[in-house]
Amino acid sequence: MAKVKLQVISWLSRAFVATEVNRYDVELEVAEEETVGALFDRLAAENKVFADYVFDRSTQNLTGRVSVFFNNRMLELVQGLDTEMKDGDFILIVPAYSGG
Amino acid sequence: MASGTKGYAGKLLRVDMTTERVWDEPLDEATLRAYVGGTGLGVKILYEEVPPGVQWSDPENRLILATGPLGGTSMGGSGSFSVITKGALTNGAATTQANGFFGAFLRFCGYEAIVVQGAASRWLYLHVHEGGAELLDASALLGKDTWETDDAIKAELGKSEHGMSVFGIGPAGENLVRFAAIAGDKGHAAGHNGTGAVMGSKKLKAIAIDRSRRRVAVHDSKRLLDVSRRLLDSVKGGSTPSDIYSWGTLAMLTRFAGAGTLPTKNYTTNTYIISPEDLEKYGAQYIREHFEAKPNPCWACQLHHCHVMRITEGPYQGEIVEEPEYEGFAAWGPVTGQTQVASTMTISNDVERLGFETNECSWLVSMVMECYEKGIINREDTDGLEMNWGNADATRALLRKIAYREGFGNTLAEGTMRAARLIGGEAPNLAIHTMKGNSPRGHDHRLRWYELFDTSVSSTGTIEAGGGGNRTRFGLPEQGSPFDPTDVVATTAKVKGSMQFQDSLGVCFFNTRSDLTLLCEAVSAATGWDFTWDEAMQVGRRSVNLLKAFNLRHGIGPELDRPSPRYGSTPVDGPAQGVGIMPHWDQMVRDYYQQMGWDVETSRPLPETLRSLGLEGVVADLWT
Ligand code: SF4
Repeated sequence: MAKVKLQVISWLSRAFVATEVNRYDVELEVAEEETVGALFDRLAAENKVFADYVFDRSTQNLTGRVSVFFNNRMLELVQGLDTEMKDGDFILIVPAYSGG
Repeated sequence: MASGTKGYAGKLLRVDMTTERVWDEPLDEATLRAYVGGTGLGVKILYEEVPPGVQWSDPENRLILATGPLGGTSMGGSGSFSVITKGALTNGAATTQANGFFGAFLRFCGYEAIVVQGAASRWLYLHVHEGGAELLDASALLGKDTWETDDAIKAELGKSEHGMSVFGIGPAGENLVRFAAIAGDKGHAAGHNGTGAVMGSKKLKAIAIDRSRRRVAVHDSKRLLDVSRRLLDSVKGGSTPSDIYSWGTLAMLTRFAGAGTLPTKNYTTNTYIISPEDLEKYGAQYIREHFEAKPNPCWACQLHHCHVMRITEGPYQGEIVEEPEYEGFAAWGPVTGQTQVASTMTISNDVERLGFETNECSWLVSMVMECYEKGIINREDTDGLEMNWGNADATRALLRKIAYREGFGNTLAEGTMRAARLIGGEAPNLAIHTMKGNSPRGHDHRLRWYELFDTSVSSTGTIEAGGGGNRTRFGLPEQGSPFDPTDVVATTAKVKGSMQFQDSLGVCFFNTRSDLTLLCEAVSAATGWDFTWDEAMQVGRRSVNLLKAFNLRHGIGPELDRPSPRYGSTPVDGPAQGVGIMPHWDQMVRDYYQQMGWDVETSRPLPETLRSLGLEGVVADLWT
């Protein structure tokens, strides 16, 4: 097993804690070499808000409402959802903006 | 009058500055249905009335201020309006929006739009009221900033703070600073592409509109109210949680700081060096709690967005400011290396009161700061100002010099692109702008190629392809790929038109950022037309193609559909380090033209594209 850190910023943190706009940090256990997509699928299965706003289980893709960073790099510039995780990795989820 | 067209006042106000005359002109239903209002209507007038050869500062240029069929209705934020003109930065088309009260009050006085032409020989302001309008002497207003102008006109005409809406220019517009904005209602500006300079060139200091008791008649007020409730729900939370409802755009800066995506120090880095304590002060909660915020919403707006505040800490304690937008925070925070939130808010307010457009102004100052750091300019060049990153006092002094075109300020008043060329040496390689001469919004677009591409190929001097709601409705995958040239081009081409339609309605973008279907329903409720999604896109696309045709006829060709070297540069650090767009650029532009139905070499809209939009007359203009 490996541990990765997940940080969620802004309104999205409400998906995890029922408090105001803020940020949320958690450490998650993942299987060695599990992909980000597989982790997100698991989180979406457990959490409806995550499913609605981050990861769409039916398309197995991100919803377009968030930007995801993997070890401080944009997820699209790593291997996207196929990126494999290892101990100590850091995932940051931020609501996306459009326009401007 | 366009008799029988419910939801419309049916006329525009024509103002000839040269002869100092004003008169009403009717608007027919066919025109309104094809162009709707706001940006759509303004672009049509611009295209038809400003022929090739007319420069932005010529009396023959038009300055059009237009609202739309939802302006002044029960829709949230329905005080908005568009400004359309030939702009001073690109010397090409300009379309830009402002919120506030102006659009609603204009409709209550019976007008859809104001079209200003000619140039006066003395300074005047326009007073619009229920009985018509007149031009009045503005000599006593000269030199006043935008807030002082607002107060002085209300005092002169005996109006209370909310008894009138005033939009005008500050010293920047009077002195024809190329990025002067038209600002009003204390906290709002229609700024992109030098609209304020055009107003200054006509010697029109301000437009003041009475708050009439009259209201606009709509076709089905119950249905409109229902749609506006559903729109508010969609923005407010319910199905789509959003910071905008609670915090306006305030929450964005701290959010992006953590991700390393803030535009920082003129794009020299993506690392915004700031202590956690100082960063926290840029957060929405801290600002709203510590700066004595008072809500200052626009007409009919229920979002907790705009506020007036008092600075309660630091050297500028006691100053009253409008809560900046994200754009203001970015501009006078990371872009210029500032880390003190009180300084950021104070400078942002100076910018509005002197009458500048924030984005262009900040890319200009950040270019100056980088030039100063690198020794391209020194204290002698800056008239003694130490233009180090984050120097708030020097920035405030420099802004005054620019507004009054004093010394070094006279060079900078030409805008980022031209000032860099005048400074010379390496400066043009550091300056952030498109090759048409306008600067981008306050994000680091190198991390999102949609905006970088859109801004660079746009005809108006700012982004053109935002909004519209769900991507799938446009035939795009739900999730975009911000570094995939194919997706970036397809997104820009497919979405284009939706923003122009939204900007034709007279409602604030934050209130309409949902699916176009709801907006079409609102237009149908207001007018009695059966307005569809397809018709809305046709309206928007008509504007997009007219804007392109306008620019081509005015000498702005495909060679200018590019970013400056720094704007298109590859990030040296941060979450997209080493990834640049320029190797793909030429192919992207060709693909884009092709998908837009434009000639791939010349970017001319093809005859069949124009005909499909009912723009037969433009075929002759472009192709014979
Ligand atoms: S969201 Fe803000 S800018 Fe828009 S109408 Fe409301 S208060 Fe005005």
